[in-house]
Amino acid sequence: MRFALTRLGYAIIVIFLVSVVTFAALHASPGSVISSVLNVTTTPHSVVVAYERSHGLLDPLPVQYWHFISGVLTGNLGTSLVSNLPVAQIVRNSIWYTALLAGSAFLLTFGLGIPLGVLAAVTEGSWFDRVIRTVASFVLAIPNFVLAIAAVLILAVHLHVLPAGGAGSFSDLIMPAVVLAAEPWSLTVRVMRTSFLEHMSADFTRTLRARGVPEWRVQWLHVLRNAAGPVISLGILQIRNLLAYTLLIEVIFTWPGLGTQLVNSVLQRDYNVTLVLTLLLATVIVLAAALGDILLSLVDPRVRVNGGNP
Amino acid sequence: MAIAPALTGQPVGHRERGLLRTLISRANIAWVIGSLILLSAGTVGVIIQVVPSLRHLYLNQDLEATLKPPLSPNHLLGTDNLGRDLGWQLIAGLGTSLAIGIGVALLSVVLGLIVGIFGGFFGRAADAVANVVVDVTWAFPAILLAVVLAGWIGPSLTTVILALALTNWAGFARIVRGEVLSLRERDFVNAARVLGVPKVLISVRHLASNLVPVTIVLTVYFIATSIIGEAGLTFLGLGVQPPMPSLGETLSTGREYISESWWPVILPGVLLVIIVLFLNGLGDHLRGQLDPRGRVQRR
Amino acid sequence: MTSDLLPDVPASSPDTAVSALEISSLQVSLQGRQASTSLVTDVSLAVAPGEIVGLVGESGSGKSLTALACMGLLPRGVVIAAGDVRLSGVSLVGMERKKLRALRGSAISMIFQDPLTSLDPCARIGSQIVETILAHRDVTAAEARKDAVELLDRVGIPRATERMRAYPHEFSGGMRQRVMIAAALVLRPRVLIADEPTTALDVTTQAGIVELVLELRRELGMAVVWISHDLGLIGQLADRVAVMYAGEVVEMAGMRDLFVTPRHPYTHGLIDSARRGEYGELFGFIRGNVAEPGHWPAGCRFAPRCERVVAGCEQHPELRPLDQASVRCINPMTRDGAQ
Repeated sequence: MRFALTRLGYAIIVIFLVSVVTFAALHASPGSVISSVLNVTTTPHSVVVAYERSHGLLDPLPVQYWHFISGVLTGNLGTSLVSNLPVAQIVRNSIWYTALLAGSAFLLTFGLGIPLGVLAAVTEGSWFDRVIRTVASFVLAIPNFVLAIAAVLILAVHLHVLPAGGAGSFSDLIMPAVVLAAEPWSLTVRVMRTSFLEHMSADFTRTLRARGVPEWRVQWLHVLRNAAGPVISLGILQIRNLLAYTLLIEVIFTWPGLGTQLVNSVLQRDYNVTLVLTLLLATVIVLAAALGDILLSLVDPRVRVNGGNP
Repeated sequence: MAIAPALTGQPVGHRERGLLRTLISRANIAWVIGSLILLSAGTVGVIIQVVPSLRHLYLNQDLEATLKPPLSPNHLLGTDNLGRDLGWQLIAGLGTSLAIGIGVALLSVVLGLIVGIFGGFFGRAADAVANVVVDVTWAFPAILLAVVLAGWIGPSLTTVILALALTNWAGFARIVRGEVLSLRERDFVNAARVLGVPKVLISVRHLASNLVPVTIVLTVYFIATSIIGEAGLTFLGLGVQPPMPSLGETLSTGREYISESWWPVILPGVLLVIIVLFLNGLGDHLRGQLDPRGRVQRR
Repeated sequence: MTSDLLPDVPASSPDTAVSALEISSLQVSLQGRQASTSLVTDVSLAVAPGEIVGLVGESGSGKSLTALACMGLLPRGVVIAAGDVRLSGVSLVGMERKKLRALRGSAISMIFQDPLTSLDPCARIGSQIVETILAHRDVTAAEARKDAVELLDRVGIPRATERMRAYPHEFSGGMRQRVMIAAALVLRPRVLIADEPTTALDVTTQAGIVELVLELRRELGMAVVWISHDLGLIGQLADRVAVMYAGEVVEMAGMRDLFVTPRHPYTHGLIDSARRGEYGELFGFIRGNVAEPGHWPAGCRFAPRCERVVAGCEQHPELRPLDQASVRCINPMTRDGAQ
């Protein structure tokens, strides 16, 4: 319990620092912020300065930051410089799509990855084991956006089995989710398998057998619990990757989630949107890492002592 | 300097043969050849971008001959939507990718070494600071970082390089720090105490011989991930801008014409897969040769 | 789950006519792709109830494999190629796996060398003992817990009730080993095999463990096989000693007898080097190195290092009785200790 609180506390500090860094980077010079609104070269300088002043862009950065943060905490996330819609609304419109996609990929990764990894370990050497390992290696060799495009080419363009994009129906979800889950799934299977096998022949397993503990308990309770550690650590990494790759996959499949919004906002220089969405994603990543560490501490009591750091 | 090794036994990381000899041995000949092929192709790709009179090879648009399939006359791999030769586009793009990949890898390694040594050597406080920095960096996966950088300085070659380098260095720094920490516990303390030889000298030597294998292997992996990273970022529009050629760019435009032509999409993809497979294999192989203790994790 | 005594294993009795553990002509081999390699050959050993037999040898001599063979815990690819292991007269070789598992931990137990890696780090120590009980006895969890606490107390864990909920990493090495012993003995087995349980511990802690085992042996009337490479330690504990070299028993004698008049040249070498006060440095004074399994000479396996080699040593010697002991040597050292 103490560990959980400390870990979360640390996460909040990190999130704060992240927000400072992001804010500073995006607002580094007022010129860049307003260039999407006003054409800086043709507008008279006095108009530009007046605009800057009225929008608080000439205040010192810490002051601007304070305005921003107090706004966030009261629910005001700013306004899009391009569409004039409240950023909060933009987030609301797209967040569920991203959650759906990432969530499905997450389920596929761990819901399929962990059982298959364990099964591969338990049937080590069999055809099943070899098939799983080959598929995993094959998938890992292909960068996911290449995989996505190839999938679209084959399944949508040539075979007409699945749609190439959009988010209207369930079948639109299948390809993006599978492609997104492909790499994390492969890694999860491999790590789960290796970890499980290692622990199956560990010293403590031998001791348990020497005491006559039934084999099913040895495997499904003791080994699994110990083998889970590396998988959870990997899981933290995978959540981060999932969120990062979501950006890419959403764009390829024209899935209207946060990712497409974020990429568009950058290309259109819509800084208010970029700022909020970036912070949102970064915060989720940091929280996911914290939760993962806490989960790890529940499984492996040694983590509670070391704080999870080597 | 000659005294220290005798006292502490063989220097850590001592090998039977020299490093260079190990690398260029019979067992490695296939990898050496492969690397040379890759490097040559990349160099050609860079040359045709840099030498003005050669640029036409990949820039030349031929609107009469757009989207010609592979094995067409004059165009071994076909043309793209603007009639540019796909083969030369790929080579040029490969040049860009390799140049960026190597640049990023070197940058990450240097950054990682600095921070890792700093954190490992200078005590708990510096270590804590380094840890926080790493954790803040952790919140920004490459794409997100690229987004922030693109927001700051606009999409460009620099953006890509910075984004990728800043993503990689943290993991490397952690490994370096671990190595420095474990080294501090070892010979370094004893030798210094007994002989009064400057601690710095002994540790630098041992550190170097321990870190070199890890660094080489990780550099190879970084090049692979950076190549993919650059392609991905450019694909999104956040990276290298036209007319600079890039495999990501070819993929991106090719995607718009995917229903008519598979080659602008599949060929860059295949090339990427081959390069990545090769580099990962090279990294694994080097790891087997140089780092049998398995300190390096690929991911 | 199982009744207190398996019907086919007779109740333990003070009658020492039936050995608690009897190993006869055991051969353990590694099954390779084309051929098998012998790892242990022709090992015979009998332990009476309440007796402690020391099994001495350097690493690679096959002593751990012998122990694992008795428990049915040989690693993959390693099998009992010949011979028999009998627990109170009942043969364990070829026994059904379920029955063997039922005997492990309840009738025959084993403790291992490294208490840190030998305990599940993710499980509380109390639950590890309770689990053992529940795997063999039809009792309630509460009763099992009571038994566990009693035993933890008995082996010297302070504040046993609280410590039940602790994890292995919260204990010192010596305490962890005591927990291992508790878990191994909670069901009062007839035979305990201890595979170098104190090698990873410091001398003081070691003494505590030895004392504990001796006490428990007295209370439970258990037979103990204590494996070690440390002759000095064996000298504190054992009633009889078997010396192993290169996969076979080369000498077997009563403890005092062995130390006073070692008969096999190898035994003599061991004792000699131990006496020189090099604690732990046993083998610097026997020239040469042990041959690996698969590369054993056809004749006497110690011959390449032996100073008493004579004609006839190229024949593989049998284990023969000599005075009160057995030796595998055609030129053993005699009572007067002469060369």
